[in-house]
Amino acid sequence: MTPAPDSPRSPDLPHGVPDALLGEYAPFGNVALDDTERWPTLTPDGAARLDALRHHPAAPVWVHATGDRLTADDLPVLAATARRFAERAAERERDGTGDAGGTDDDRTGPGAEAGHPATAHPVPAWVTDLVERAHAVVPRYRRARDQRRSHARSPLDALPPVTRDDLRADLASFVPVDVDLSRIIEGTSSGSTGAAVVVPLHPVAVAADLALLHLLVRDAGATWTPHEDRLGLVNLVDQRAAFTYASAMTGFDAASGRATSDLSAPLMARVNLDPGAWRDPADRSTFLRGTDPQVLSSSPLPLLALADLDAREGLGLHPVAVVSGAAHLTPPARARLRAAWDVPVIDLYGLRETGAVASRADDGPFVVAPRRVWVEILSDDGTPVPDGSPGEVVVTTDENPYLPLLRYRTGDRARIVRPRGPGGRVELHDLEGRSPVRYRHADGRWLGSVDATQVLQAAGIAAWQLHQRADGTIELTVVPDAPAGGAPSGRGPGRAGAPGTGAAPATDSAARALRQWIGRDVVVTVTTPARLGHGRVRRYSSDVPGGQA
Amino acid sequence: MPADSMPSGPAGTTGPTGRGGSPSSRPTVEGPALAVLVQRLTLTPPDVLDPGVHVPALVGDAVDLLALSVPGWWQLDAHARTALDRTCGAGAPAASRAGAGIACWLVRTPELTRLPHLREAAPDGPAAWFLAVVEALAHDLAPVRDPQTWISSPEGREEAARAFLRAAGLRPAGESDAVAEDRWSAVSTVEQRRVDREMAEEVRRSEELAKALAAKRAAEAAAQYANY
Repeated sequence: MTPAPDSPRSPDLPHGVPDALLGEYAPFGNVALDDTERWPTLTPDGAARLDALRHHPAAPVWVHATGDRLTADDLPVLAATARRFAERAAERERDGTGDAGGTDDDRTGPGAEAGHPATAHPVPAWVTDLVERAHAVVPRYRRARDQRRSHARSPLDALPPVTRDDLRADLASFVPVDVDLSRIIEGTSSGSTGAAVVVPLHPVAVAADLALLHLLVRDAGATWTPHEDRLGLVNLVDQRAAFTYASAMTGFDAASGRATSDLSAPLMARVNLDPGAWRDPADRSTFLRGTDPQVLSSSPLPLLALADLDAREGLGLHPVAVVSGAAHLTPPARARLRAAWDVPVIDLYGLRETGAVASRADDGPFVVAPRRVWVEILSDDGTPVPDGSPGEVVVTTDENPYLPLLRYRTGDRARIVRPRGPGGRVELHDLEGRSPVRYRHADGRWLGSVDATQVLQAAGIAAWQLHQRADGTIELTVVPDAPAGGAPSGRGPGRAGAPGTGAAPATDSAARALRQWIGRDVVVTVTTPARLGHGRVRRYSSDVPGGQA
Repeated sequence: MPADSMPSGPAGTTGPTGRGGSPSSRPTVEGPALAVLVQRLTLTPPDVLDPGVHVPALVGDAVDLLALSVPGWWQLDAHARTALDRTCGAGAPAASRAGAGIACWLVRTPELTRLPHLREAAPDGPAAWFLAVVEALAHDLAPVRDPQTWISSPEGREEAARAFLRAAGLRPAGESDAVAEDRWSAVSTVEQRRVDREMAEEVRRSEELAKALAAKRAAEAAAQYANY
């Protein structure tokens, strides 16, 4: 695999791009490598295709350049990871009844404890191995060992849970002392509150996301084969400022478990729907129509905006699958996306710190991903709750060599349903992000946000934000379930149809139901996906003292 | 990546291992009070530390005493005696020979030889037991702490006494296993050095990590396929 010859140190900026277009995202402020370092195994052919993409006449303003950083030595490791995921998934389906079985990974280790009597679920061998290893090489757990708080053979549930604040306060204490740091790359995770935390990532761990996507797309019944004229994947955002870049997926084949395909290294791009990210307003549609990405990987609001855009401007997108993450995908939103493209819509739950935790391809429960991820549900004080009862999702994972995590508190809530034996699907029901918010009824009672979820979903609202002001007034911001008629995306041309077509009845009935529920006035604002905010949308919030944990 | 391949392997074992497993992982038999051994150390005859002393003879005396005193105890075989000759004989470093000599002195403590269940502390047999005790003092402790201090200083006496008991599969009378382990960690020179070494390593790693993350190449990050 010869690297691309004579690559420029950084990609050319398209002509006529104003400076400082994107606020704090100084264009190319974070580039440091050349193309051979970004894509070590990229062939000249791949480099030429990538170059053509970067110079596409309707390309967005590229703010960043970044590659997958995969060396030739990484590819077999990635392929082995992909195989491990696939084997785990296959075993899980076979053993779905919960009888004997499970992969080697799942067998309970010699030190596996039954855990809390109420749950009595032995942990897989890799978890016991991780506990043992952590107490030898992870500073935080070495201290615990020295201070006799825990040791190599401690059961998992004897270890105190870990929070984002712990990571932020002393990241180094979580990084094993014996891993080579030279491959480290910086990821960030911003929860819905508070400052971001730096997450050290390894290129293979990042590329393993691609392996998981391959598996999920395949299991959903879709076929994802590289195509010369199409983007293999678009990572889509819709926000005021964002990193945008073009890249080649040199790990695509390894991640799919295929030996090689005819087209090595299909291309991908990170693209921002915000009109400010394009040199010309028409470029956005031209680019998307022309590249027709195979997998749309994004979050609910940008996906809804894209669906609107496609319908309104006739982009003719033919994705093979849609992947949504970072925020709650409601049934109406899912239905909208299915109606737009009639392809599997995969809802992916995870954190940057832990990687993917669970996914679903329908409105049912999430299924824990076939990675080394082990989920417990704990109460606020850290004690396990009985399976089936709601509590905080706490994750143990050993996929990222720089950041193995033991009992990491996600801040999200769910109920867990486990199969009877080893192997089999572990399900997360009623998964809800962030701390529960409660609302104060006019008569002083506190009501949970779950009620509001049901009301709003029943009314067919696609996305919403529900806020209670300090004076008790309820503010509801909605993206209704109607197609583009009432909800244009951004400032693009052409508002089709009369405003409120299809939107008003759903919004009105939701507002009415909420008024009844909370005994107060509800102020409603109808908005567009672009306006509701980016990232992990906080669906519930409150300024009433005691309303928000 | 963990099992598919590690960029650099994990540190192998999680703790000290030895014949029959780590001393700290086996249940212990209650031995004499620590004070008894500490006192015994203050009474160590000077000729035990004499560079000219013939250590294997001391070993022989100690072994004979045990054979007489401990019901069912039998003599060390020739193999064990040869091993001891080699490690504590004239060619061995002075500190090791002194350490071995003190070990033999401690073995002859009356409260020890009269222990009703001394044999329970030697599940692998008397040879292994004896060699472990000599090993612990002559080759683990003597190189890091001058045997003279095992007699002359309170810290030295406590460390030597605890090292001896630990290697002998005994715990000080009146202490639980957990308490004995804790107190051993607190006085052990080797333990302290390990802790210091690990902490220095962690400080170094923390700096290395900060540097690696601050490097522009880290900030360039990598192309992301999914949103979390």
